[in-house]
Amino acid sequence: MGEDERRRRRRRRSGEDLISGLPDEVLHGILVRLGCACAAARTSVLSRRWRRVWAHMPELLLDSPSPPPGPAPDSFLNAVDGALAGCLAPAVDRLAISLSADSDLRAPAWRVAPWLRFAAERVVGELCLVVSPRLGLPLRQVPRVQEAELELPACGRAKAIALFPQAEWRLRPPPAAGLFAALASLTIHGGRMEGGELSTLVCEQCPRLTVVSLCVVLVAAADVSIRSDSLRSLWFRAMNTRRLEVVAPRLEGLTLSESVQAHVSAPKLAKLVWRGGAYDPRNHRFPDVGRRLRLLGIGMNSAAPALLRQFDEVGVLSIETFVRQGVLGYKRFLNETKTLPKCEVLSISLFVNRHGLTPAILHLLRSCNGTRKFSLILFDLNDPPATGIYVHSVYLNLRHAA
Amino acid sequence: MASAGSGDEKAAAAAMITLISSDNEKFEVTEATATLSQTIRHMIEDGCTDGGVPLPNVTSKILARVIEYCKKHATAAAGEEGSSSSFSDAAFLEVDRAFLEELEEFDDAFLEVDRATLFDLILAANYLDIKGLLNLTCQKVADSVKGKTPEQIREMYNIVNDLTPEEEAEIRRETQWAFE
Repeated sequence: MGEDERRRRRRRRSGEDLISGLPDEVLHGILVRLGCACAAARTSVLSRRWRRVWAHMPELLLDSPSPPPGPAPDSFLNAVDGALAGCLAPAVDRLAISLSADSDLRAPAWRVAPWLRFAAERVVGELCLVVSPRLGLPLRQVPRVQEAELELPACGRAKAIALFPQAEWRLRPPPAAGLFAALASLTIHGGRMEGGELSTLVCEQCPRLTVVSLCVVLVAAADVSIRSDSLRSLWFRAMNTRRLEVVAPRLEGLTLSESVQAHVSAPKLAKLVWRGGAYDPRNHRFPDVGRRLRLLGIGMNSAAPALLRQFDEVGVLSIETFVRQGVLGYKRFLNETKTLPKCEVLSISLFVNRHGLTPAILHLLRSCNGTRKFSLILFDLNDPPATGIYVHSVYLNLRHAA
Repeated sequence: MASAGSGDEKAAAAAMITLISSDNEKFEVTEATATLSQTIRHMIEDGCTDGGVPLPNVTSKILARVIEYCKKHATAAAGEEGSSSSFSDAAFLEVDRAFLEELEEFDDAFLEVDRATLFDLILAANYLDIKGLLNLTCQKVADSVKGKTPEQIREMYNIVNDLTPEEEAEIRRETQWAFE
């Protein structure tokens, strides 16, 4: 192969065009990693060889640019339309469209609907659509936009769908016959749905779902039923839910928000995170969940002493809690953390003012029963701006006398 | 040997594969290293690796680099499996983080090659189907192109523009949305 090596040397010296000789699939790999379908499409003017390379890319990523030097408001929406129209790949592994970088950019539902129809036809892997202006805002604070309906067509080949629609949009799943036959993971954060349609979507139209994450508002107070033989992980927050029923024989992880009435049948449940506010054993029932868990999480503002008592042994116990000022606040903290299940790892996120700090920590350390690792993340309430400011993290390996 | 070591471990350690480059150089590697390549993994599964695996598309120089990459990342993969703890709490992942940082440094140093070698590595990674290496090398090229105008890209990679001005104007019209 000496000839090969000589040729290699020659082209290295002569400044030959090496990149255009790469096979298409490799060029696709490079273009996809530009992280922007527009940048990929701009390579079409490089030369004849490059003209249609981008159009066959298996992944299309379209992120709105951040606003400051931004172009005219509609140009990003036009870019998405252009990219989808120019795409020649019969099967798209990944379509990700995000408007979140530009909080002023609003896509009307009628402009988004054709993107979903494209996805229904072409996406065989992952669809991610972020249209909500600001991720992470509580639902009530998102500024009102025009109410509109957005139809979610059946994406028969997609394996994962993540939708972040605008809060006011009413999402309409396809008619009952429409199947998401390959869908394993479904995330819908934002938007409004009808309780019955939500139940049908999860229970009947997605026969292979294993992971579901829902954060929606029901258009009217309604019961929601999640019955699924395939489901392994469920994150559920649907405002206006009257009663949530979960029957999922394979469910291993469950996060519940909003203090709905809940009836959960999940004999395999190993991880439970409670963010549902005050836990009431009369309204929140877990009839066939055992007394041992791999993980139990108690979210902020979710007093759940009765829930803590339901379990004897927990692998990781993670608690977010306040120590409010004054004697009453401290007493409340003591009450909430009085009886902790036996746990291997205790992870506490504590919002505290300095005065209460030492006794609170000593109390927690005393409550550790058989705990080997103790992690403490402190947020100082006296040190504004307190929200989300990470102050201290303590990480201890505890040794207990036998 | 009659020592008390784990039999499985011994078998795994003993499983060596011979890779043969296009210029007929032989490389002995462990199965764990070799199977980072899906192509070779399938050959092993099909039992067609006796007498060595000929790789007619890869020169000894490039194969040596590819093996260097695979060795490092095979150790990393083994380490990941070993350290998978029963809990996923972020606070307890410090050790893994240090390990990943080391791997990142290795990758950065690994990419310090001339452009021809980089493209040869890409072709080898593609042929051998080594996901991590393909990702790494393609990303390097993508990063070099990011933010550049078509004219700059042509110059950088010696791409000859063989489009007529009319053709180029037409393509720019078609993809106007991408240039706005």
